[in-house]
Amino acid sequence: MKKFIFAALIFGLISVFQSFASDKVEIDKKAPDFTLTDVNGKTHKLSDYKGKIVVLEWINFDCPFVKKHYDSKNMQKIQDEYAKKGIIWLAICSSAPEKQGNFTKDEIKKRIKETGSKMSAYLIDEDGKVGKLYEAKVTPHMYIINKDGVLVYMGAIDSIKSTDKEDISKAENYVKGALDALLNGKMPATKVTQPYGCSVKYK
Amino acid sequence: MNKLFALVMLFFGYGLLTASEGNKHVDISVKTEKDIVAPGDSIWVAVIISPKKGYHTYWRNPGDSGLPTVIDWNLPEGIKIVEHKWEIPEKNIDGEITDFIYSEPHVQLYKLAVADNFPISDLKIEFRVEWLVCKTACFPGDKDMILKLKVSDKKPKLNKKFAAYFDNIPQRLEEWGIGATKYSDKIEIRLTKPPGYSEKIRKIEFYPYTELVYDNSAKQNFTDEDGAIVIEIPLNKNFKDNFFNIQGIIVADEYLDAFKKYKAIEINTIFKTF
Repeated sequence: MKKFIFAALIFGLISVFQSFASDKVEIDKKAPDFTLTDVNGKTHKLSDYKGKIVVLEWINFDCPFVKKHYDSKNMQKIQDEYAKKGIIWLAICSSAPEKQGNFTKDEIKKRIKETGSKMSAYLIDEDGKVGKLYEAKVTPHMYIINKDGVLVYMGAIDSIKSTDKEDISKAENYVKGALDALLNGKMPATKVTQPYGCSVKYK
Repeated sequence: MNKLFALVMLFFGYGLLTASEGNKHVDISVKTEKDIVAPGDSIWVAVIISPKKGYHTYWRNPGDSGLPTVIDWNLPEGIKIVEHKWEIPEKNIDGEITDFIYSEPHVQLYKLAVADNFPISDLKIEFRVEWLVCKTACFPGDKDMILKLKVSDKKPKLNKKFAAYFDNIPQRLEEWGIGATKYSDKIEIRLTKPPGYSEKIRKIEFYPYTELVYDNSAKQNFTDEDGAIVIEIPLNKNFKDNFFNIQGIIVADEYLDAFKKYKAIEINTIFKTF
């Protein structure tokens, strides 16, 4: 009997632990923790941002879909607007060496300056570990994590799948919608959408 | 004269420089099944999309990445599209990314219906094709096209080669019984074989028309016994919305019809839910 109770306790503890940690990305569940280094050599751990709303943006500066949102200044405006409201915006590049989107640190810094990007950090994920952990398929692929570390949005930046800048003003912006909901103490109305973009250039 | 020549060359050169990168890698052409269509009749039109070697464009559901090729018609009053068909795509798995692509010349077929009272006329119908073409990098492209269409009561001359464009089009093969059951994490499609069907199928998969619902990368297991093929299609664990039917194509490695012409069935089935 004692052995049974002990086994049940262990099982219970494991279940409780699993509910607080996740190694697979799933909507409405804890976002998987990760550690990456940014272009300036600083280390970022997702769990360091507990208590903050975090946006993850998978990026490849040479992808025509990313260019749509950066050449139009759409992405930068959103980054800037919500940075002022305390949101952490982490751009992550999972392009492998020699593949499109993989740049030297100097080139990355140049692109950030040229585009006027307002991301909190540009994280380098050359081996694609974090991209695969999050099942990031395209650039841009957007994820939003609430203050409790729960994934509350994953998918496209907006509703019109194209490379045409003219479509931005006509589209519903899912990221803005989700962030506004969270800032008003609500859950996003739209939690999962089909992302669109260039494939992430994994190894 | 030299100045004029220089000006022409400058204009020509500028045009070349600004030609879209995406336009360089895809050729577009158009063919019709016959040279004339009568008022009250219909005509099949093939838009032929040819990616250059090493490049690919995308199916109506591109999969994890990419964009479908879109054709936008400027049809006159009295002419409408009554059918639109896509060729079977290739399922391309590149590591974590699964897409439905075309790396060879392929068609989108349109059936245009002409109203009974449409005037006898020679038409120039404009249409625009927009695509994403990729190799290791992707480029958007577009082309404005003209379909010349003669509306007349005269006897049409048939394009004998046109029938071949249907060879790679999924069919609704009524001789197969199709049922689908939805579970919490998968859909099961049951295909009941027609009497006498004896082909040994080694590979069969479902390609969905709908994005987001299905896990494109997940393996689809199937069994083939007791006169039926049952395919298990994993759902996208992050898609939580309710849905009531399954639409797409079943693609096999063997012919599925008695005339040995078709390797894909088009399905649109409401399912039972568990």
